[in-house]
Amino acid sequence: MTPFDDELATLLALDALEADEQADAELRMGTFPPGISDTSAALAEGAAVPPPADLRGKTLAAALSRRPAGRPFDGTVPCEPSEGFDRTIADVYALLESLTPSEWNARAHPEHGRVRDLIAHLVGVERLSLRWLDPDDDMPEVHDHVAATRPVIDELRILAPDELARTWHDAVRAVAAAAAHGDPTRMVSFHDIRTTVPGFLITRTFELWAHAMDISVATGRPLLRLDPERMATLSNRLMGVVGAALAYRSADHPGRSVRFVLTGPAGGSYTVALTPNQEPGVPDATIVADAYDICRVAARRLDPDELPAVIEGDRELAGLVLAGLDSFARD
Amino acid sequence: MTASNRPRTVTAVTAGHRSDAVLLARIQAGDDTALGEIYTAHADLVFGLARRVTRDEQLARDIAQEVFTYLWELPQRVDLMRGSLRTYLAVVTHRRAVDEVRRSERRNRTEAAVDPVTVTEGPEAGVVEADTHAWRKQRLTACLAELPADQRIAVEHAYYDGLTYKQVARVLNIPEGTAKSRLRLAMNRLRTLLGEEMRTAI
Repeated sequence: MTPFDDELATLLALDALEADEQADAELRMGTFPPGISDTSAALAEGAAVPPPADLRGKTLAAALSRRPAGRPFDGTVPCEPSEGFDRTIADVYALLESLTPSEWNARAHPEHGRVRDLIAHLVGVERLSLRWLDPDDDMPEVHDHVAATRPVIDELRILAPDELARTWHDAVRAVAAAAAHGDPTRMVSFHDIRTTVPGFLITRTFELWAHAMDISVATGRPLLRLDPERMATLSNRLMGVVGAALAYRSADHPGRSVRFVLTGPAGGSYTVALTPNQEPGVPDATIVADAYDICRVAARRLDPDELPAVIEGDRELAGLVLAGLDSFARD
Repeated sequence: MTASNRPRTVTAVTAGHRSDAVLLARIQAGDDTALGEIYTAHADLVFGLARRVTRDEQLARDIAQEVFTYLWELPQRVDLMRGSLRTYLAVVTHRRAVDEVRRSERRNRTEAAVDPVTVTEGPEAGVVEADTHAWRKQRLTACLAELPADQRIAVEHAYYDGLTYKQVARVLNIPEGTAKSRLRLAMNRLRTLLGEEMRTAI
């Protein structure tokens, strides 16, 4: 730094320049001149005094009037569940079209096996989905997601990879079309879970995304990252069903709450009750984690113990909650 | 082994050890309780500095509101590579207070002493890390006392009174070049005296 810059930085850090000079100085070295701002800030300590009692409430209210709590400052507007499902279908199909013949035989899933078996499994899930979406079909509950599609995997073994990809695409497009028809508020089944049509589509989006990640890992590709709109849809939905997810495993905690602070453009701040149909109270724990990572936990593609997160408060409770986020995931 | 008792890679954070990065991430995510925590930790500096520079309690209150609102609205403006959140708030507050003073001309700029202002202390008086803040204040006072008197007075006029170097020169009846060099020498000396420990503690 030249003596001139040194002097300029000092005067800038002290806000001791004339207005026109300050503008020039900021252009030259930025708003916070390096190496000297911390010294000028130290001078501020000499002025610190406790603020008036009423200033806190007024200040926080003023801030929240400009930007409501709960949403990220650069928050993404979630897309419609049907749109998210459509985009994920397109992503998965593009991934399948990019695979080489040998990659179709890569081992992608501990239970389904190879990539081609995984896609055949998805064809089976699409067939089940068409029945679940049909209000006139009184199909019994399906408890074993893997076993339910084994016959389809056997049936489709003879198909070439490109035929298998097209078969799945046709089947999943039929599911999207079926979901778009009829009363969107009607309840549908997903295995032994009752949910709305949008909830169903979000659950299926989670599933497609999870299997796309399986294929990406198996074939050495980067993990499929959904766009922020879809991630916001998934994380919003996930935060809305935390209590139900815990209750599904009889692991809910009536009277207790957790605050999730989900970072990233798809994030937000949510205080959730740890049992269904209860208003949240004062949080017993706060979990700060990226929205993308939390959704991977819910999709069973990230172990809760590997989640990069900061936890404050009751860590044991937070651990139990994180362990229960994947209750509605189906592989 | 259950999920709850397996070793966890997440970071345990206890009260008083929250990092600025986590607090900022929480603010970016819309967590208003994080803003409350930041207010609790730094309102003394923001309000106190604004009051010291403007010598006007109402203006100081307005500036404190603006500074915390600005942080809440635009948290991405904070670059922790350049300094701590407390440093950032001090810089923003000072600039805002100086702007206000220069615009309003509400008081006599050459007045040396700060009029005592009676305030009812908020809960932060008992919550803030009083020992740390007292240590910072004492250390600063000691370092300022080690400066040559002409340098210390120049810095106090510039920083606490919000004067430009030209105004400092007029008040002290010295050439503008001398005012500039005094301020530079004072800040360099202060930087050395404060040391890494104090500057990084801010």
